[in-house]
Amino acid sequence: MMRACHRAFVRSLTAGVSLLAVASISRAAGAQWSTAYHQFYRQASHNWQFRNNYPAADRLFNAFDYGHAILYETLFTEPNAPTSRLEQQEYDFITQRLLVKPPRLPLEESVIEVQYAKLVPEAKEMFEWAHVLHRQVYDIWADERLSTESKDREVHRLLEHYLARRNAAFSTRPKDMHLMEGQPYSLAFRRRYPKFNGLIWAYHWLQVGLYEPLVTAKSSEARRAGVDAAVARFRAMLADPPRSMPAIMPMTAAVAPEFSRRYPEIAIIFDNLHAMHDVISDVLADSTVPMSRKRAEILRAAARYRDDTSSVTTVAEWRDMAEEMGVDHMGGRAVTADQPSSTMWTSELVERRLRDANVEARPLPPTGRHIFMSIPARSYELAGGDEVQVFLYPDSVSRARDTAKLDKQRVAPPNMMIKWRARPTLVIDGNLAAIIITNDDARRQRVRDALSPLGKPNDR
Amino acid sequence: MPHPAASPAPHVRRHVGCRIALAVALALSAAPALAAQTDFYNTSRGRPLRIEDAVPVEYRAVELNLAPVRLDVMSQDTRFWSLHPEATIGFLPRTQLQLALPLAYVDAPGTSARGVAGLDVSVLRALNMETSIPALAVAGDISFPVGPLGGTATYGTVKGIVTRTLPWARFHGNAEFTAGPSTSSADPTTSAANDGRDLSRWLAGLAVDKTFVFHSLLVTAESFAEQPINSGASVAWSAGAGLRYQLDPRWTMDAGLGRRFTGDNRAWYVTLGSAYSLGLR
Repeated sequence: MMRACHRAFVRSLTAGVSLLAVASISRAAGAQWSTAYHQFYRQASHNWQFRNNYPAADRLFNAFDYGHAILYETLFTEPNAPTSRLEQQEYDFITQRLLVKPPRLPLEESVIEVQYAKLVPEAKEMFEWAHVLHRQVYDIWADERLSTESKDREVHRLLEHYLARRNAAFSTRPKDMHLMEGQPYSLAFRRRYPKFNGLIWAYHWLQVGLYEPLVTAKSSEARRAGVDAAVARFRAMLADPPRSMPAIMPMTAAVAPEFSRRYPEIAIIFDNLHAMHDVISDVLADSTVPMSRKRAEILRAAARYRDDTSSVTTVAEWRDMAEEMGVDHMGGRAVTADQPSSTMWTSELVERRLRDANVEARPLPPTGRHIFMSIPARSYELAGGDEVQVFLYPDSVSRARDTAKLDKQRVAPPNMMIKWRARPTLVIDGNLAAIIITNDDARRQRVRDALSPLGKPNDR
Repeated sequence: MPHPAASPAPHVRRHVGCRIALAVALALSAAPALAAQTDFYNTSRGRPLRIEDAVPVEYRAVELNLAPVRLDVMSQDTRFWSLHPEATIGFLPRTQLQLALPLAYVDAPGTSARGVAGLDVSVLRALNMETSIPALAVAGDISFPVGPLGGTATYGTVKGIVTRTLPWARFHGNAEFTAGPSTSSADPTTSAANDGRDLSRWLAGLAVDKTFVFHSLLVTAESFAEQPINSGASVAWSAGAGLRYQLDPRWTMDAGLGRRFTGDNRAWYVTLGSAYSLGLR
């Protein structure tokens, strides 16, 4: 009896294994046979130095892994989901939980983007290989044991190692914008998901923005301060989405000019990487690309970003393009070692300061943008129907660009007549500009004091 | 006291075993200069369960399974301890080479034996990366009769592996066949030796695993049937469960618990191991 049971079990098990294989394969008739593969990263003494020396920033990248992965998986598997699925549900999870307490280790993305990973493992491997390059360049520049010359030498060795995998490496030739924005599917993602798109661009800003303080700082303390400032800038980008986020794709030559001058090929690789991230989002988000064509379109784009011939432009044109598009729209230039790092104003900080100063301030619904300011205000109603309008910029440079054009007494451009309903007062500090609209001098002073320059111990 | 490894020239095999152990030890001692990432997501035979996935270690990766221990608690107060150090190298894209030198200790009432229990050399080749087609791999293994508990014959095993990933779990199917002489269950010497070598005439099984991605934790369960290499032995059915956990970018821990429910050698077994990943320079 027992033996019969065993035989029946064995037969069932063998049949199960066979069925699993045969059924899976037969269902995949016409599917693609992929020979992509994973490769371990280059071994060196500087491995994991960024993780050891800058754990907070390193952990953020673990959270970024999730953002990219869930984006592709959702776009591919839930094409008809409401926009709130990404714009609200996932965005809130990422910004309110994941980025607040990022994972301690890099995430296994294929667990998050199961179907996407099976759709185009070749493209996934290109991203992973480029992300390894990202992290290893951080490692080199985070290693305080290496001299600057050694760092340069190691980065060039790393680049050779990266480029040796031609089937996974992005081209070192810059590509023109047509490749990203001139395709039938282009812009589909960012139009439908402006907030999540801004989040991805904020990720990309930090990924390249971290290099600038790392390569320009002259001491480990300065490097640490620069990295902290870059992370603070990134967090400020999330304060008022999508207005506080980059409005165009951050380009390495603009965000991290010294890094790009030092390692132009790597900067171009990262721009090609980030552009292809956008292209894949567009292909997946565009309903005019049928599901049966998604893989082919992605592979076509991937081949173009790998080769040295498609849509190639010159390095000079690439730099010019980055400058002309305007670094302020990309989230601003990264902090360099010679810029003092400071705390950034955020809406949370503004509200906390007002609260601490016993100023009653009730947030008002968003209104239109002033004609003379480049970003919309976040407005608060004060007692007596007065108002304070707060403008939070990615950095002080972009703030100064707006406020420099104003007549500070009238809070209006010199050639423009603005009719305020009460006396306006302009307050500026770092990345903040605020207009206090009140005829009550005491109230004005209290708000002014609340928005006094940063630097208090509890401002961070 | 009878020694289970009674054979024509045990000292010769011990000598070979020692040289191989020395070579492996030297290879391992050179490795700590490197630093790398390990991966809790990919299972391999015995780590923690018998059924493995169709994914080899990464190209140019070296994974060292340091001191993985297995304890089989069998009937009649017999305990079987084994230490299974192994090194796996991704020497080609989608291809790994694995060297293992198991050490065993048999503790039975009135008798005990310990020593090297064979030398295993295996190659696993992934045929593809999973798309709508499941991941497929083939593996070949040769087990040499090295050491006091290494038996007397060389065995060759071929294996087919399939892995299918679904959004909520991964499934793995393994089927293998071993060529080589059958041993006699009437002879406790060869029987014990082949327990040490973990040989089956054939084996087929399924495993399922679930990943908790934010915790870098994999939980897995398996069930398989095997025909022991001993002639006349009945088919044994086993089931087990285990987990793999990433401690840091380099270290992974694994643990497993299982039961051989049927067959002539019913037993509970537990495994505990750790893996350290490096890279080739």
